[in-house]
Amino acid sequence: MEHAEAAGHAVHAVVMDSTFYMACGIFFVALALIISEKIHKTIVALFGASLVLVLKILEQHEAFHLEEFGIDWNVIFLLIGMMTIINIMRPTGLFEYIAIRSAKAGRGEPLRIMIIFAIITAVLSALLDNVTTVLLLAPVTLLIADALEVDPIPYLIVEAIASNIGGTATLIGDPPNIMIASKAKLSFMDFVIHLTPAVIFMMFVLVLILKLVFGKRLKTRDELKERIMQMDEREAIKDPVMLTKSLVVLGIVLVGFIFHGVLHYEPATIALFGAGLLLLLTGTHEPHHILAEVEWPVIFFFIGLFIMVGGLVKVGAISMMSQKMLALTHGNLFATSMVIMWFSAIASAVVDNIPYVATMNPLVIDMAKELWPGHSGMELLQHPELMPIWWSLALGACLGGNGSAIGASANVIVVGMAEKAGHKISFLKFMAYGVPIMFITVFISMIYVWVRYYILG
Amino acid sequence: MKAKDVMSPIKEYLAPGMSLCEAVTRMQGIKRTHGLPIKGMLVKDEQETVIGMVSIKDILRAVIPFYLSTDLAIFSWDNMLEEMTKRASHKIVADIMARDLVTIDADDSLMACTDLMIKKGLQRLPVTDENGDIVGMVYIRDIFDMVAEYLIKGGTNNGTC
Repeated sequence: MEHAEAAGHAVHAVVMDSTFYMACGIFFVALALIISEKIHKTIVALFGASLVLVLKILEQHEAFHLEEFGIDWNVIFLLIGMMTIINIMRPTGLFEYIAIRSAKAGRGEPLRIMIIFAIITAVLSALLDNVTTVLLLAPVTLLIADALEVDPIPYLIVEAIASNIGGTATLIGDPPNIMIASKAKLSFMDFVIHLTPAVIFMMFVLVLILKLVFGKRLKTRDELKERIMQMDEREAIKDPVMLTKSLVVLGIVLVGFIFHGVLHYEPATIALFGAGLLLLLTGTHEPHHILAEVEWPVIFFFIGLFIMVGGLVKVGAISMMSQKMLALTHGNLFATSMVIMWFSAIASAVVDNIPYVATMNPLVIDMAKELWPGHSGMELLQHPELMPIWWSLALGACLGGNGSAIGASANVIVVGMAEKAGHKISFLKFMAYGVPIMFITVFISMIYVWVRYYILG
Repeated sequence: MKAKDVMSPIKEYLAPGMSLCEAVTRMQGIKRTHGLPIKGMLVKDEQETVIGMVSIKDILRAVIPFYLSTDLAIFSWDNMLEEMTKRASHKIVADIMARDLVTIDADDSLMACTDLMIKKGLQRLPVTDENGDIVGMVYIRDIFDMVAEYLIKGGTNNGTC
């Protein structure tokens, strides 16, 4: 209560002094540098964060230890935990096994394989992460396209798109969801209940579109299909013992996620337990190479961003933005959630959705404080009227990633792989697929949020 | 003995614009002293500057699709090698040559040559003079022949090991 009042007070007393301008200056220069890609985003974020501390916009204590201004350790350790588990699973050959098996299940039919690959990409992206999924499936896709003598480009783009859609479905599927869940204290099951149904519907629509667009275009010969049927997916399994162990641990982790809300565990606790247990089961004395493969640049990017955004929150820049947003929509929450959804989608297509969501999270919380000054804690964060706004932010930020070749890491990876294999995917080529899908999926989200939360209540 | 004492002269070069077919034809036509075709050649541009080297490994590497690097090669089909070679045939020497050449000084010792070749996995080592110009090539086979001779000579009972 005190907390809310203190923050509520700050909302109305934004002092636009030198500290205010420094915090904004650091953030927007950093954002511009990140977009320009002149300097690596992690270096920009870490240097920006160090400036926030050196210039005493935030005290170190605030940056390291306060939930309101500081690093969101829940996000950091959830990412580290999941990355560690995935790093141990990768060399077992599971992903290649699944991919070859799927191609055989498609009986070598190019369209059927495209649809099955889209679905498994979505499922794996929802349960693991998008980048790993496309990174491991893309090579198999190129192999299968060569075997069938078909153009691999549509397959690769469809996989990137499916991974962005699938990642939207769960708390762990995509970084924006991880960040939103942590800020709003939402559980894994909240995402399953509120976002997964929408995503399943989107996947149905995607499959339908693929059938319409590619139904007649993708052709191969019977003797080429035979090449797929003669592959033995069991040969892909490199380490069956480790595979079994990782599947058991992954199962425990997923069950843990399903019940973490009920058991009062934070998702990061579940992920860290899984990582610790699986590391123990590897029986290795040299965990160095497993831990070294954690994507530390991504982790440090998050750390830097959290501190820079913390600076913005402390000087009141975020409150100012949230007041503007409410003024724009005249406090109408349906309008606000629609604005947030479409703006998030467009913004995420153009810039990295991680800094975007890192900024939007405190903005949404601040808006809630303005709207319901008497509330605090969970009552405030999960106010029934605020929930559709969180879902709109998640849907917009995740699905917007399909809007351009740089909208999501998965897109960047497939474009890079295609180029290495001698198939250039131009920016416009990607957008020819991505933009329509982005509009269709965000449109579905709009209808979904409107009907589910504003019509049915 | 020094590098310059064991090096062979270089008489022919590849050009960066040659197709893989032309390069392979030229390589197959040049026989080394042991009678087998040469397995690696330097590439010279129009200004007569050496800009790279092509070995049979570079040519084979150009044929392998990059995605096979992830243990996927077990899922290949019968005539895949042939198909992929056809696909790579549009490439030219400049696309596939190694650009960072490891070289050795004409006055460097044979021990240094041998060490460098083993540590870096090289089959041939261009030898440079004091101006940095390439004046010859040391082949691993030639060094090995010397080592073999030392081993045999050093054996007991006049060459019966």
